[in-house]
Parts: sequence; structure tokens; C-alpha cells
Amino acid sequence: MINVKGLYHDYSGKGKYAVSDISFHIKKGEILGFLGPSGAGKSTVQNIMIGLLKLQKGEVSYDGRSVSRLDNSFYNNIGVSFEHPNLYTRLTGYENLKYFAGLFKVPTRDPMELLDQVGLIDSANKKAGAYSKGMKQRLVFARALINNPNILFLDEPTSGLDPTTANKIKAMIKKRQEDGCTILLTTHNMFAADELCDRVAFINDGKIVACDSPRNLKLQYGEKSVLVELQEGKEISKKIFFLDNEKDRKSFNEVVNSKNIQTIHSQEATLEQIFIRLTGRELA
Amino acid sequence: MLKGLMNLFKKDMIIALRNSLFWVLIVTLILMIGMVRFLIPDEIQLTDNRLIFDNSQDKALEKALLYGGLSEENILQSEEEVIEGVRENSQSIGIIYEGSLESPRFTVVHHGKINPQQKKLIDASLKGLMSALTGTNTEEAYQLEFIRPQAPPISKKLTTIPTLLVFEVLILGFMYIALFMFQEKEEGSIRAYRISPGNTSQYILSKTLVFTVVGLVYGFSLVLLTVGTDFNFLYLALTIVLGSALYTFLGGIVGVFFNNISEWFAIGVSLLVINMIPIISSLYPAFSPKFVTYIPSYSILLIFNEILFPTGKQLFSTTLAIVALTIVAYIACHLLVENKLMKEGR
Ligand SMILES: Nc1ncnc2c1ncn2[C@@H]1O[C@H](COP(=O)(O)OP(=O)(O)O)[C@@H](O)[C@H]1O
Ligand SMILES: [Mg+2]
Repeated sequence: MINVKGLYHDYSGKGKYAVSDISFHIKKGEILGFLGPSGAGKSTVQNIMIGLLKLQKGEVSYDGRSVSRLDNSFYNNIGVSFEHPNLYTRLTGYENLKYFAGLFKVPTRDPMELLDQVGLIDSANKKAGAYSKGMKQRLVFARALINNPNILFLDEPTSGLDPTTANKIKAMIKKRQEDGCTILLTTHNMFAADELCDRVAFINDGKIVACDSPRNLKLQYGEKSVLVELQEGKEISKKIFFLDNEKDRKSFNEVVNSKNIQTIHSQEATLEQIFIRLTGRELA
Repeated sequence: MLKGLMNLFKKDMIIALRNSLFWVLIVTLILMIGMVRFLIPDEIQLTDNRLIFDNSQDKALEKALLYGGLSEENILQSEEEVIEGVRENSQSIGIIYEGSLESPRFTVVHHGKINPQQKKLIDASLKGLMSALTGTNTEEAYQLEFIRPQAPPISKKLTTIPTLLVFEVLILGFMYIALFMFQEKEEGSIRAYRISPGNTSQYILSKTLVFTVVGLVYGFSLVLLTVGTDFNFLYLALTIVLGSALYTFLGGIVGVFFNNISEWFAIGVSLLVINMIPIISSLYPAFSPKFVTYIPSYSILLIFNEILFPTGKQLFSTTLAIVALTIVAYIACHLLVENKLMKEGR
């Protein structure tokens, strides 16, 4: 359904690529997660895909139609939740949704119902400019759903939200998927990615380093990991060793020989640990 | 299309009404109406500017003039007083009468040089004085010829109304579309608009409609409250719509090149001031450089003047020129908004 091939983007025009050679596809009804640290290039890719950034090099196509040939009516079918909330600050939450809905030529949802679902019903008549950051984020998310889109682009929809609210949002994302929506979910939260995504693309320094289902990623990279609690002086520290990795195996042996081990568990690695292993870099 | 436009129009109208700067402008304009209505005197030349000293034996001129309704303040008692009076007020003219009815002698005291036209006026007014003296009506002695059909004399304060109309159209259209754009850039809502099916023409026209509606409400209130109802409503409405649209488009053309009011300020205000030169020219006719006639607001002012105070001038081609300019300005504005504002960061 969505095909991205050999995507490059250079903001400065000086040959310094923010993203390079990005290729992936998203099947209809699938949630693809973009997982990577801040500055990795996730938003850049999303912005090229929705036409906010120019397609400089490479190809993005929807059902075979290039993004550079799409006209305005394409936007009737997509919803975008932005990383940085961009609302009409002088309009209320309700008015933001109402007037945005008025731009579409497809049936739209009841603004009040959406506001209720994201927990903003009590602030429906407050100006969006006076919303807290988390409230703005939820309003932008609700706005992305106003036109019942077939494709959703969600850039960090849960970042900065408290767990209860984040769970609400996640449930709504799942619900959209059940209704057949294809979703690109950008996040640096590995729990969200693990929970929601059919497949996850690890992105670091503008490149995709791995792309598979969370389960396969774990099977492939995280199967044989061991969590060890060590006593070093008075401090207790935790360490993970991937036994498939020769270096890790060596240090694990050293730890075992040192006899400082308090506890030892074999465990399934988290996506974050796999990410660190693949990139040498933390997600946050 | 129309439904979409109305939706955006409502949105932009609400935003305009919640903008404090917008209300500052409206209040300023209302204050101006108040000034026109209540503060500026109806006739600026309320007082007779003749200073008369009757130095004759029988004071015949003095008596005749007082009898004719001249204020006592205009009658002075010595040549020195007359000279002093003229010195104090350069607009006044001193007339000293000596001799007798049979051989009158007038001395005219004035400020600066007198051109031939003024000399004729003085001659005429001296003849008028003579007729006041002799009691004969000599109005036939001179005659005024009007080149155009004679317009009823316009009360001085009302002549400022057309300039206020132009002022409103200019500020609202030219400046506020830019302010709206900057607001949307700053809050990022323009990016949200870009990923919606809303298009460029709707974007421009909904804002234009806001300024046009406000312009119509303001313009008609102003005119109805001051001039009255004796004018061509349709022509006034058309001109306000045209003027608002033209200056909104021009404002959009300039606005797309800037990100905020401080970047815009130097260029924006300069252009605004240039477009206000015709207003200044109309208030101070001495200041009318030739290029003024090429500024669009000059033609708009001309049309407003003719609508409110008809003189029989034919302004059809002027109106047509403004229509043509408005169309050109729209095309330019559309292209710039489409390829610059809607493509920012591409
Ligand atoms: N508008 C921009 N101009 C120049 N560089 C940018 C711009 N936006 C992002 N970048 C750079 O591109 C890289 C990727 O950024 P981004 O796509 O926002 O990453 P992410 O969304 O993964 O945090 C970063 O190095 C960032 O500094
Ligand atoms: Mg980002």
C-alpha cells in the first residue's frame, strides 16, 4: 500500500543528509513503528511522506501513485498527528476540530465525541492556546482522526502523556487499525512500539538499521540474553549479556568467574536493549 | 467550494474578532467617526476675515457693514490695529476706507504677495463694499462661471469621509492579512492546513471576505452616520469590496516574504505609508506630486469622493482599471501563497 524507496533528504543543500537510503513498505491495515532516538530522522521521513517536505531523492508511493503527483484530495484520506502541536491557538478545542472538519469532502466525526474520547470534553470551550502541552497533543491527535482517515501518520502521539491517558490514546490507535486503517507510528517509546506495532523499523542517524516484527526482532537479536545482578563493593548493578555476541559472551564469562553474581536470569530482551545493541545508542 | 469557503470564513472571522489589534483598529476608526461628527467644526472659515477701519467722516461703511451683519470684532479703530491684525492672522485682509461716497479711497493691507486671482477677489469684494455703501445691488457687476455642473457646497468636515474609507480599506486589508499569516506561521496551524484538502484560493478568499465584510459594515456605518443616505449604495459597496480585496491581495503578496511583524515592519509600513500619500494629498492639496495618481488608493479615493459628493466626473474607466488591477493582484497573491507560504520548508 505504502512504498518508500531510497529516500534521502538534505535540509541544508550541502550534501549533509538528515536521512539517507530509507526504504520500507507498509501493508494495508498494518501499523509500522518508527523507533529511534531524537534527531534520528523519523519526523523528516514522515514529513516527506505527507508532502510537507519536498521529495528530493527517492520515491514515496501510495498504491503505486507517487507522492509528488498527488493532489489536494489525497488529504481527504489521511490524518496527521504532529509532533509539535500546531493548533489555531485563538480557537477553542471544539472550534479547532469543527473548522478543520469543514475542510474535508468526506464524512467527518462529531468533534464532541472525539474530544470526549481523548479526555478533553471539559476543556472543549477553552482556547487551545491555553491548553497544557499534553492537552494540545491530545487535541492534535483527535484532529488527525476527524476525517476517518485510511492512513494515519502519528508523530510521537503519546510522548509526554501520563500512562492512563497514553493508554487511552493507544486503545484508539488499535481501534483505528481494526477499522482497516494503515498507520505509521513514530515514537521513541519502545513500550508503545512493542505494544502497538506489527512491525518496527529501527532508525538511527538517518538510516534504518533493522525492520521486522517485535517478536522476530527479539528472536533474532534478543533470544539469548542474560540479566545479571552484580555486587561490586557496596553497589549492586544490573548487566545484560547477549550470549550470541562473542564480546558479550566473553565478558559474561568473566563476570561468572568473578563470583560477584547476586542473581542471574535468562530473559527476553526489550526492544530498547536490542536497539542499544544494534546502534550502541539509547533511545531516549 | 462555497461551503468550504464559508467554513473558513467563519473561522477567520472568529479569529479576527478575538484579535485585540483588530479591536484597536475598530476603536480608532470609531473615534475618527466621532471626531468628524462632533469635533471638526462644520465650516472651518466661520469668521469673516476682513478687518475694516472706516476712517471717513460719517463712518458710512462701518454702519452699513454692521447693519449688514458684520461682527463688531471686524471693525477696528485705527490703521495700526488693522496692520497688527493682519500680522497676527495671515489669512485676514485689512481694508481701510477713507474719503467720501463720491470719491472713496480704499487701502488694502495684506500678508505676503497677492496673485492675480486674489486681486480679482479683492476687487470684487471692494465693489461689494461700495454697493453696501451706496445701497445699490451690484451683484451683476461680476459673475462666476462654473466649468463643471455646480456641486452643492460640501461642508468641510464631510470631505474627510472618503479619506477615512480609504484608510480603513488600506489598514485592514494590507496589514491584517499579513498579521493573520504571521499568526498561522507562528502557531504552525498553516502546516495543519497544508495537510488538509483546503486549497490556496479558499485560504486567500476567506480572509479577503473577512476584511470585506468588516469594511462594508464600517464603511456604511461611517457614511450613513455622517453624509446621510443620498448616494449610490451599490457603487459604494462595490468600491469597498474592490478596495478591500485589492489591498488584501497586495498585503498577501508582501506578507508571504516575512515570518513575523518585526521582519515585516520596515517594508510593510513603508508601503502602507506610500499608499497613504493620496490621503495626505487630499487633505493638504499643496502636497500632490505627480506620481500620486499612479497609487491605487488615489483612484479609490477619487471614486469614493465622486460617490459621496458627485461632480459629474466620469470614473468608469478608473473603476475598470481598479478591477483589472485587483484581478492581477489576486493572481500574483495566489501564486505566491501557493508556491511560498504553502511550500515553506520545502
Ligand atoms: N527544518 C530543519 N532544518 C534543518 N535541519 C533539520 C530540520 N528538521 C530536522 N533537522 C535535522 O534533521 C535530523 C533529523 O531530524 P528529525 O527528522 O526531526 O528527527 P526525529 O524526528 O527522529 O527526532 C536532525 O539532525 C535535525 O537536526
Ligand atoms: Mg521527530
